[in-house]
Amino acid sequence: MWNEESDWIGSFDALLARLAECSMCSRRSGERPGAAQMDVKILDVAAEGGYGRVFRCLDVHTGALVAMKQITMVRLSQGIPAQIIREVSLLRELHHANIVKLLRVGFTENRYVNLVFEHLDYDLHQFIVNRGYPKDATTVKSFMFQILSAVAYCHSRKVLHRDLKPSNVLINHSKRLIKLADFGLAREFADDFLYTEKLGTSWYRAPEILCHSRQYSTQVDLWSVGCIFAEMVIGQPLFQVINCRDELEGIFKLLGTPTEETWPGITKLMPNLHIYCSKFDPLGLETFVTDLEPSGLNLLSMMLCLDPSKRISAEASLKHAYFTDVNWI
Amino acid sequence: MADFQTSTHRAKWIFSPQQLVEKYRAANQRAKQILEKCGATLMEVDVNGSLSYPEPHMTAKDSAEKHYRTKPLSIEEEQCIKVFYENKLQEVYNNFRFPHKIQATALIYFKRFYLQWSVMEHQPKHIMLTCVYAACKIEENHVSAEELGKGISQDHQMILNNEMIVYQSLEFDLIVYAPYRSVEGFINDVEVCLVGPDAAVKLCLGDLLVMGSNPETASLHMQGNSVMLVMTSLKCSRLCKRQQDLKLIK
Repeated sequence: MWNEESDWIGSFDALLARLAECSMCSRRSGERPGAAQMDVKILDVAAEGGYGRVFRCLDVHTGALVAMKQITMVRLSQGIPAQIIREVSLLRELHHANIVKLLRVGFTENRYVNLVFEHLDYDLHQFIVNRGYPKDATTVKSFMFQILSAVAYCHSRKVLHRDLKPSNVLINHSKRLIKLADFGLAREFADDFLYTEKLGTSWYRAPEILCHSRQYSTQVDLWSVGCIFAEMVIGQPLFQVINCRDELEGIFKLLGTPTEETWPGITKLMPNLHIYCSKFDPLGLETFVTDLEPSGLNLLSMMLCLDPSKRISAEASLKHAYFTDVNWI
Repeated sequence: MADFQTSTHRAKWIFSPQQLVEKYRAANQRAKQILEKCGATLMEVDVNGSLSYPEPHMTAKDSAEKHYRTKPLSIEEEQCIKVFYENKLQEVYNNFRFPHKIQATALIYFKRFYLQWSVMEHQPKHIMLTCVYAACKIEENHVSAEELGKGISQDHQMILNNEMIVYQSLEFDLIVYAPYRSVEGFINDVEVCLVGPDAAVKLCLGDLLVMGSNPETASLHMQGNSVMLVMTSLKCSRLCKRQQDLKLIK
């Protein structure tokens, strides 16, 4: 038995030695994998951010307009940023009419990662700011339905977006088509996961995250959708309108300071709540969101519910009375 | 991801045994041709991620000398090396105490990578470690390349150098399915039913992970659940037999 084993080890060592021999040679330099032509012609810079730049480009094969997100690899000590890996891998799996399509991925030199997406005309933030926001109720309803469809799809695939805001909602002007973008903070979720609390843009961040909870789920996205909904109606971020020192105080001013009765578990989550801020009586959503039909206001209040366990889901939102006349979708 | 049916895993990465053989043969053939032409096959990735390829022979004498010395690996020998590193991959996990999900993900990455390449083209030890690092990133179990390198006495730069080629070979299809949580629960139930909680017989999840008698192909031509079911039923039948033997002894 021993001889058999040592024979086997000997022959395997010989095999590894032969494998090692394969590398003994002179070399010539080659291209970096993926550094080959990205097959796009840059037209202009569409946007700039902390991550890098977005270029408006022309696909040299099809002649179609595309958007190229060029991300600077700052921390080369950790290779390709996990945020990019997360975004790319999730977009490879998510296929929905209201989610932006990732066309290809490439690399230039050792400093940039290029993500090529389908091109859309502008984002919802630009639409609200530059076009005097969607004044007609039909457009608001259409946009909301499409956003919720995309979010419901993500949640059904066990994906949290975690960074929903108007600048991450893209619009095709001619078709009035909405597409969710920027899945850099998105992640898969499970019942027993602890997540990071440092995410999302503060005006659209759910109260449980602002209260430093690390156990949250799909409800955080619904809060953000509620904030977007209100912003489409009033033309500016809801919690920017309320005069307060920070987002959490603004939320409590609008919806009332929570108690164990209104939000079970809040005292455990935020033991110093009574020290942190005074007890506010709710001002009510209708005070700020005036131009919204009653069913819309009802849906908004269900999205902007302090207690995450009572917050409406994306799936249920799509069946809400507010969308009964959506035969135009 | 909840929906396996619409996943890239199901659409692109499950093959028939015949398709697998063809892919292995194609990669092996390509490596052999490079070996004949250049006398070596291994590509190297430098610090900025550039690939360097073997130089073609300058003279017939060079070619003859090198050809005499280096004999290409057969498909079977390649499989043998791959299985060896798949088992090594488990050792890395035991050292770092990573969850099974990461172990499964890295193993699938490793298998998929060598559908496109021969072990003669890319050093399996380096690729194995890069797959571990990639799996940690995608499963959000943050381990720095340095930490990983230190833990197994390897240069972490080699892990980073190979990261790009691994992602591209996997076509960025990085979300993979492996039913370890449910299987682990099932195994616990089986253990309790068959031999009681204090018994010495333990089902080894690691054995399930390397996929038993045909580790190379199982996770590529069967759905994860099927692999697990087959392997678990094999284990259970062995346990049942063991249980009967114990009764006979008593």
